[in-house]
Amino acid sequence: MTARVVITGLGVVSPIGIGVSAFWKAALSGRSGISAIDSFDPFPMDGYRSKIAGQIRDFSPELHIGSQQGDRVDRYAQFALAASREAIADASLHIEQETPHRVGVIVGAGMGGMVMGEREITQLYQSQKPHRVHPNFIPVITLNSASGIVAMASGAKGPNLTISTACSSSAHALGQALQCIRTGQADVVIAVGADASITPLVFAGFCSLRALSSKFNDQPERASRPFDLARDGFVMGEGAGALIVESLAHAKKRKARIYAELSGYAATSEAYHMVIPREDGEEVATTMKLALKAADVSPSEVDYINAHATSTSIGDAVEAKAIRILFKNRADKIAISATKSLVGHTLGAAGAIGAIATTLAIQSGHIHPTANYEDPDPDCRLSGVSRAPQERKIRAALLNAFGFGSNNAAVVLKQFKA
Amino acid sequence: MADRTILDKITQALADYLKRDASTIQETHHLRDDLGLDSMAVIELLYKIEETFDLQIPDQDLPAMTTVGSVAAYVGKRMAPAKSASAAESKTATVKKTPAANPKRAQAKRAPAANPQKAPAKPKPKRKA
Repeated sequence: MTARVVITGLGVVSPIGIGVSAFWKAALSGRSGISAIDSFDPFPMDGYRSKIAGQIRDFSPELHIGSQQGDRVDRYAQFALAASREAIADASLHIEQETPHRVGVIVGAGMGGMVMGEREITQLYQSQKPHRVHPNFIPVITLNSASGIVAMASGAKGPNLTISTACSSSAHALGQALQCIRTGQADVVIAVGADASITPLVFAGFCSLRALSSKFNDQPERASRPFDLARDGFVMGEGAGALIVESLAHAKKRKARIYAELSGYAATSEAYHMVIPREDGEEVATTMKLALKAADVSPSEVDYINAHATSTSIGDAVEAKAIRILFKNRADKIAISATKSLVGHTLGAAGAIGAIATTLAIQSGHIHPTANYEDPDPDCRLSGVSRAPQERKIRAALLNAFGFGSNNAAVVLKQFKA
Repeated sequence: MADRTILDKITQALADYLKRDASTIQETHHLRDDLGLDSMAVIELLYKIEETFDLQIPDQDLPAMTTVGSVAAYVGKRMAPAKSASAAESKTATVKKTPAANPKRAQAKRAPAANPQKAPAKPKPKRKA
């Protein structure tokens, strides 16, 4: 009998709100967190085709990290720390009362410490003074910096891992947290997703890929429009989400409040193309099917899908096709929402932030709107997508996350029944 | 119909990319259907075209570039209003002025992020030595 695993705490730092309460209130109102990028000092924005992003403007690092830590914690790790602190408190988890080696941390991050990273690279090539590279460059840029920092701040001494699979990173972090607990390695895992790479080079890289929206630079809030006919690419975002994943037995023992049950997960590769998904949707359908099978949930029990839905022309169409392939004539009866329509694509944080929206939907019965869904694209029309909030009693939900590198993840969350 | 020199350069860029003879590439060839370029390959090709002709192709102009001829015609049109227009394009693209916006590819001899060899006279470290 596989151990049951539940979600007991949530924490988030997002372009629509810092903290779960602010985030969820904004999400249910369909508020967009996309805004114009002021500049990439010293570059003017003229040189960038896209000039907007889901930025977090009111985050105060001093509230979350000690003053001497400033140079050691890059922006994405600051977000990870803030989100995990909130989640731990939300779960009323006192790690000092736990067996520390039974509490793990798994972080999903796509780009990692790029703020300091780009600064140091630029500095080196301009100055040609290698000895002036900051001693913290390596500790900051190593992709496991956030997972180390979260462990250090929380005292969690259990399995400490970082998963980097681009846009699906933190969906895998959640899935691996589930496996970690089921294999008996830990009782609790702090599963986090974080990225903050709205930086000159990374942003330019996505522009050069022609992946970003560039038609709505003068109306930023309208740019991220998954499934809509006028979509023209994704909008970069930054942020972090953290979920406390715990064995049911452990949660019961400490009388934790349970949000939802984490019941299954699938990790696959399309083995197809670094950035283009298989156009027929078969691979994505397979990933979702495998996740449901692993969760022992029938497609007929799925009431909500938190779609990957980045607002790219191809990606949204492929996902819609896959949903039709798997769910057949039930496809139009499932409520669907695209969190990226509100916060943009937060890369490594996307899975975790989507999972938080899913968990809250299960718990509250409220599903947040998909912003800018004004003119449904006939190629990816699904009745369950709506510009208005929806109410639905959710038995089971799917969270989708598909990453560059032909990497897919799907996570199944269920209404918890004792 | 397209300017011969421009067409030749584009054909050669395609030939280099596809590792085949330029004489086998026709003006009427469809990039995707005849030459087998996927959307990523088209983006990579256009990146090279931008460099060859020193222009910047906005996202909204991409969908029109379906054949070898249409790419050549587009480039021809962009080059045609001569120096003043192309100078304006270059300025907007900030390709020349801002070193880090023009990193080129890794195998180029110049350093990727800036131009240290080109600007030895102004090593201005951000921090004090």
